[in-house]
Amino acid sequence: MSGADPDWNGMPEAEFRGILSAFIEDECPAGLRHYPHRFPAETTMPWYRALHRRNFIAPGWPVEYGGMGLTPDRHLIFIEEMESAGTPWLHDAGVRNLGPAIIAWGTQEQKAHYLPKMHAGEHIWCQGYSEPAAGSDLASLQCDGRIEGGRLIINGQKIWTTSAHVASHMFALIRTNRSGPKQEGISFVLIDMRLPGITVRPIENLSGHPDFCEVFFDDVSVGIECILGEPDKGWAVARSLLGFERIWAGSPKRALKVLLALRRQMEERGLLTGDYWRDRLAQAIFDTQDAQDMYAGFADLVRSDGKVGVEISALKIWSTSVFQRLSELLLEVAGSDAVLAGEGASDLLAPYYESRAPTIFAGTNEIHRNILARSVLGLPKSD
Amino acid sequence: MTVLDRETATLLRDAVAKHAERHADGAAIRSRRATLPGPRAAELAEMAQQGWLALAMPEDGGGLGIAAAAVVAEGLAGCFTSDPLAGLFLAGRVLALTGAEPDLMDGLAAGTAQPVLAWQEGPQDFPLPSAKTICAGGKASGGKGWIAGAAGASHFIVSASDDGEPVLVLAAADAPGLVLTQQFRADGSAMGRLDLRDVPVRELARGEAAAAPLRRALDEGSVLVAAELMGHIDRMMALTIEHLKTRRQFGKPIGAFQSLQHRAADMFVRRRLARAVLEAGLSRLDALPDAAAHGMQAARLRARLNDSALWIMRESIQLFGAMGITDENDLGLHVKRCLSLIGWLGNSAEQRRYFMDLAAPGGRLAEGGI
Ligand SMILES: Cc1cc2nc3c(=O)[nH]c(=O)nc-3n(C[C@H](O)[C@H](O)[C@H](O)COP(=O)(O)OP(=O)(O)OC[C@H]3O[C@@H](n4cnc5c(N)ncnc54)[C@H](O)[C@@H]3O)c2cc1C
Repeated sequence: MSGADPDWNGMPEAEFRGILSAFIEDECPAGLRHYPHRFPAETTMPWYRALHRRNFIAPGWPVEYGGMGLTPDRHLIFIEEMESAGTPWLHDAGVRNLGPAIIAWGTQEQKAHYLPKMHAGEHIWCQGYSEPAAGSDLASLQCDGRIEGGRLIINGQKIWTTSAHVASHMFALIRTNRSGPKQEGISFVLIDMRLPGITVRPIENLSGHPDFCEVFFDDVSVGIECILGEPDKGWAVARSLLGFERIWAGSPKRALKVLLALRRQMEERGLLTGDYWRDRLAQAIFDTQDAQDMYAGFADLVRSDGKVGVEISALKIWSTSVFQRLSELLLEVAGSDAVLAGEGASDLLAPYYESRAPTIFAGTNEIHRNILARSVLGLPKSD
Repeated sequence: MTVLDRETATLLRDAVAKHAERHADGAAIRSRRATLPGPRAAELAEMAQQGWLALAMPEDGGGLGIAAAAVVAEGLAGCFTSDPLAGLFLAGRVLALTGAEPDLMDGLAAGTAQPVLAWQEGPQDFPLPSAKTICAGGKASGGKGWIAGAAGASHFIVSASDDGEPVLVLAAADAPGLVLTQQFRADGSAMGRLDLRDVPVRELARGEAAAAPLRRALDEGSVLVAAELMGHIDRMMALTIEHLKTRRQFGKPIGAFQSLQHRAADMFVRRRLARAVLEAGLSRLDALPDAAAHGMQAARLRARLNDSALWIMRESIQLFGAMGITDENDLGLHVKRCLSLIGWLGNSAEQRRYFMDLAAPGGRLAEGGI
């Protein structure tokens, strides 16, 4: 990939912002901006590919793999520019989540095969962990993988799989061994979704969008080289990703997006002249910018220690709660307009719906409270 | 301005921690409530000897900036109060930022002079009203209150208005026409009230050269209070978690109940957030020359520390049960100290108003816009 990229971390902030916003102006069509839900993949793929061509698709990856290698501060600025311009959500579980895992655990062949296609948007990935009976208690998962002569035969079901209906590939946790404790005997498997035996059924969510799916496996056969890391040791691979996932889930960018919408709405409705709404806006700004400070602090820690650490749960709880609070404030600001089903940027209910999910995914906030109580505060085991 | 390096910060932190440990005497604090000079972390001479009073000095005079002073204030929470640090720090910063009266600054650093800042006139004055105290022909008249460190003060730095222009003037504590009385805060520490009738004063600064240093000093004082709150938050939290592990009911430690675990976890979230905001803010403040940016950063930081402190106070008392509302429990010393701090130099409502007044309409959020 292009070695001619400038030093993104070293250049003046204003220049960095300028390059990003000019790029967005040029490449991201107005029709895709400020849409509160996720578009279907085909709608956003031209924008994805533009990001890929400019090497902007993987801001967090190391430069040698085509990432931007951004420092946490710069990464936040990157996100802020993207959010304030209202660029659309992508189907990007691959670059965001799987990419770092392949970089950490993959063989040379796996890196060479998967990373460039992921970067280019040729492969769209979804994450197949949850099952109907394995939610918070993920390690109890049952989707079965039988190893037979260099092949892995998969039978079972996944659920809540985001983007499965548009994905070309899934990274999945599959039970390949039932003899030991439940965390052992799980393999991390890279599955081509176009193989025979896979059925995908989209599930409509509260906002009326099919964002996640059920996925059924019926004698699906993949090569053994599709296992990332050691067979039966996939729990360790998945756990190593949790850190990245939690930083991502704790990112203040979702709250920031609502904050920008809040400000716009208050301005349009002429509310910023009175003390009451100014006070409410100040609180919203504090809650969000404080989340940014916490986020940047954790991101710095990751950079210096290479580890995320259990305290990250505090960030996830805070950022996702702020996101919900702000979405509810937006409804207050809108008055009776809030009861109307809007469209696009005027869909005031969208942030309300969207902010329900992050307190549930990437470990529910209750599970994160359990982690803080036990692992950080050292409180005794509860029954 | 100075950026505190890691090594100096560690040395300072260790020295303060040692001092606080030696002086963490709840009984002594209780017995000195509502007396003069009242509960304090150290006598002036000792503070001076430790170098804590010199922290307010200008950079070229050995000062280390707000980040260093914050380390001291936070650490002194370990002995339940940082008094009389904040009062002297405020005066020191005004002297340092105006560059006036270098001898007095030296005396402050050496512990031989005790100047304090008298800026406030009413309970809702934060961030900064125009002073009703009048100065004309070298004489000041008016009233001031909420003066921290006033007991035993040698000088008062008074904000006033001279022909409609803001001025900062200096009055000796024994000047004719100056009457000092005391009120007591929730923690039993004293705050001075000043009555001025034609008190002879010396001018320190005038116009913008008076207003800007005062504004910045109040920001820094507000952040110093926030740093002390952080110290109390950590200690209240530690006491409470210890209690959850040792207090048994229904045949088990109460910390085994998941409902209490989740409340403890939420306390941790508030504490961790406060820490992140404090550290991020301290790393930026000294490098923010622009008054609005400085004020907005200080306001946001202080509001978070206020809010987290209130949260931890409430939850700690509840999780202690009846023990939580006894005066005997050291938790109460932290609670009362926090109550004495949160409403001074800007509670959270005042910080939000201050922030919004400084913000630029239409600007980018990250650059101080709203
Ligand atoms: C929008 C969205 C997208 C998702 N995308 C994906 C995806 O792409 N791939 C994927 O694999 N999964 C995905 N998930 C699933 C997600 O990981 C699970 O929803 C999550 O792990 C919780 O499992 P559950 O929904 O079965 O809830 P449950 O585990 O049944 O929990 C129900 C309630 O009980 C609480 N609870 C459970 N256990 C405890 C406990 N020990 N202590 C206290 N409270 C407890 C929970 O906090 C929750 O409030 C997604 C979920 C959402 C909402």
